[in-house]
Amino acid sequence: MKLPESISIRDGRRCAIDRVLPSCADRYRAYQIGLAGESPYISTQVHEVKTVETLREQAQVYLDTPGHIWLAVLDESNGAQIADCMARITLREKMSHVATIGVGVRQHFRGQGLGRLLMERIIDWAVEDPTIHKLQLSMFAANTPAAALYQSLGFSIEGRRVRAFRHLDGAYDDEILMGKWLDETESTR
Amino acid sequence: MKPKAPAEQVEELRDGRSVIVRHSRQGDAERVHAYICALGCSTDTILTCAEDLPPIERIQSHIEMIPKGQFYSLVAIDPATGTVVGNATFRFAVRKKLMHAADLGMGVLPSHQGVGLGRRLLERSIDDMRSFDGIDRLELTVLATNTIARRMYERAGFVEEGVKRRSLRQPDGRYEDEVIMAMWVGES
Repeated sequence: MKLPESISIRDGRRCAIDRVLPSCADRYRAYQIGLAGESPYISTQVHEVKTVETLREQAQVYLDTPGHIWLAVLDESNGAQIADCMARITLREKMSHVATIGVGVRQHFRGQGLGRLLMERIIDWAVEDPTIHKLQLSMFAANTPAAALYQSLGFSIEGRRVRAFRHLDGAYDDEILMGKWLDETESTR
Repeated sequence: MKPKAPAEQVEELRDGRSVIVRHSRQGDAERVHAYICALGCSTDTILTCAEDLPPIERIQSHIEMIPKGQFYSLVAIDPATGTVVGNATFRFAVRKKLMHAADLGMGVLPSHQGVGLGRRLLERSIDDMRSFDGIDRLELTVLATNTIARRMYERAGFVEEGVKRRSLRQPDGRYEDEVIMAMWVGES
């Protein structure tokens, strides 16, 4: 993967994809707080976002650990982070062939194909890693656009954890689990 | 509300032996660690294996979380030797949107399997969770091939929620599916 990568999104705005670096932890934190505040489909609440120091350490771990990757998308007009995607293998021997993915896009950059683009980068990265054989992710059941995106990328539903999420108003939502087995031939290209 | 006082209960097993069932407490780390290592090396039905044994510090940190209501652990002890022969734990999530769910892990050493101990541990720990404030949902994963455990969980009230395909790889390279199960213990 060649990074940073400069791209044009559907509406013409320019963005850059790069790894989340320890030095960018404060920028990431501002993004995460914005996302947690505007999206009901994030399991982290605003006040649960980690400290800059913790995020800096986390970014270093993602840089140093095999089977880990963490990408950020920046708005080139102002340098703000507007999306991210992370994947990491499970640190248990029997699950070390499975990588778990998380993806987020800020509201004002939705509907521009960024989620798909990031997912494609992650899938290509995983295919290149000979230790990763399966990708998994989960989402709020009400988040149907996300489900459609993942299914179009070859993920299938593996389960539904009933009332696994409780929103702040007390309403529950189910969690949908999805998985994708990677064959040697698999690629988004 | 925290689980009721850590009363020691003597449970008679189907083969006439008995075990002491009680909540884990300070000072248990060594015997629980020995048990986890013995279990991980004796069965391929749990996540822990010989290549992936936990450090004793992790067990100790779990025990320290118990009085704060952040972890639940029940052990069955062989009164003759003082060793742990079976256990049941519940982990609680940290984030608010997930905090109402508790994740079950349990096991029984081969020397004490097939005599009803797993079921006793399961029932006792579910009862404790029912009186645990804020817990509505109990969940677990079990190997698809582990039909004895799956039947036990079903009888206790767990319902299948899905199958994670080839999500576990045994040390010999075999892939296995995991079944995810849950039961609701909160108000419906």
